Amino acid sequence: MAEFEKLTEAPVEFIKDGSQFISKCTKPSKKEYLRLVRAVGLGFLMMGVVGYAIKLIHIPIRYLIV
Amino acid sequence: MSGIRLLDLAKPFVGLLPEIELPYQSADFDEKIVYTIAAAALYSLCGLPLNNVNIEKIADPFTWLRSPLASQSGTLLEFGVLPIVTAGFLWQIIAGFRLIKVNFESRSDRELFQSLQKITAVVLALIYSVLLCFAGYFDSIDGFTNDITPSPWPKLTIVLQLTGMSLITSLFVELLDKNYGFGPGALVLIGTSAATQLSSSIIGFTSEKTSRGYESHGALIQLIKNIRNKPLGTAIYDAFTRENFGNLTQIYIVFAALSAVLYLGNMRIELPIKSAKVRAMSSVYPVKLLYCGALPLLFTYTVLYNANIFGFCFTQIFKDSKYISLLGKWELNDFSLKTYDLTSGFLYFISISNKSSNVLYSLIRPITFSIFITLTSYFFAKNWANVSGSAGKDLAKQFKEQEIALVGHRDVGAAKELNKVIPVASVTGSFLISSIAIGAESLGFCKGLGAGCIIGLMSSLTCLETIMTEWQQNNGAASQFGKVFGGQQ
Repeated sequence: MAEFEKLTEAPVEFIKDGSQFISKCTKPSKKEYLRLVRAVGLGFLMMGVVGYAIKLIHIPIRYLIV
Repeated sequence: MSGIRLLDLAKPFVGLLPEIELPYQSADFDEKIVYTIAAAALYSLCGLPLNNVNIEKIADPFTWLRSPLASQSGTLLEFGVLPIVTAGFLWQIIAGFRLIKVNFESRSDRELFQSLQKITAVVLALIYSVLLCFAGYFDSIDGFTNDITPSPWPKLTIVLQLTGMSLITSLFVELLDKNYGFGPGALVLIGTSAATQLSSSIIGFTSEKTSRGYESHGALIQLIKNIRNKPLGTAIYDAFTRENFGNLTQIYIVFAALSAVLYLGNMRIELPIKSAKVRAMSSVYPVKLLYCGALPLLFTYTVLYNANIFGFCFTQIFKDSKYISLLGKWELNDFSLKTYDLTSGFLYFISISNKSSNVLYSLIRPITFSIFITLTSYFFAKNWANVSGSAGKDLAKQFKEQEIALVGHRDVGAAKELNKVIPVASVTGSFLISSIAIGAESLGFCKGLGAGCIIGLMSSLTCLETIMTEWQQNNGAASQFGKVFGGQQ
């Protein structure tokens, strides 16, 4: 029985610790967050477009080698 | 005395493998950026079809696992960074649990450890490719006949190509890791590949022939194309629900997941620190909520990918055995002939495949899948700090070396205080990240796009952080890139 209690206690403890931690966290302000989203989104998309452009190079290469 | 250490076993092979030498002087900011971009670009350029494999006619059992590990089916990047990441995790964990003794302070030990990882990566790639060859993965599926005269020569070339490529990939990773470029190398590659995949499923204008005629890779392009050809209602409905490539629903889910991740990624607890030398200097040391970054989720997907490769090969090779179907059962998707779908067995329950003849199975599967992902990430996050040397104890040591002290704590107290915060942060963070990934994957049946993009974004953030640190330390604003991009900030 004691073992069973231990088993159920672990997730409860985990959730308690976790939510306490989250409530203590410094959260980004709305302005900061929007700036971040814009910067990271743009960067990520740019990386993707460059990657896609490289992928496009594959098409002629495939025709050449196959 | 058992004097031979396992680490020493790597010694004879060190000379055989090509190795990247440490730079004579640390490269400057511009050079590092160029190296990083070049490595990532070259890596994606390597996605060329394998010789002796008909890329259009092979069926792929691992679609949903590919994007987190930057792999592409039927190409040289068949395994992506999987062997390297697997080897890295494996040895890091073995060393962390003191199963082999590595003295990370000693340079020769560190080098041996690295070579050991590289050897393991290449050997793993060899094992995977041999197994997949035997499993008939590279055989064309015509829909009429599966039997192609087994000749060893093409198979041998496939194995050679894949093994060679994984050696090259590991050299790319090593190049970036050894301070020629930025960031953990594997993460750079994963980040680029995830970004590529995301943008190609939004605006990819190349099209491919499917069972419903020619379809564009990009969901947005497909929408525009639909609007021009079909009645408006159908056009929009179709763009949100198509199945062959990414649809708009998935894209929106991925965007939602990514913004949630970004928000979480910016949450931190700020511990006040002060310099022990200069009295007036005081600052904060942020402990991030996502302390391990993408690693817990990446680890989980690495485990899944490995399990699926071995599972698929064994089920194909030992088809006649009765018990093997308990492990997993793959069925060829009759409709497209492009994928194998898991339909039952142990591996089905930890996958996102929703194709099963058994209704009960498909009801249980999302639950078991979530439990598996959460638990694996949990245990990884719980142990990783100790394994990788970023636990409170190690941080406290660093603080002491840099003569920084936590405000209100002495040396011993600092480790204790950090130990109170870090494990909670890493475990909670990994739990949240894996829940988001599970949500994205099960809501949209994104076929790995969700998890892949989350891991990719987190990896890019990690790399960005190293770039920013370097920028601040080495006065990056004075460099060429700084001049170009500095104006915008």
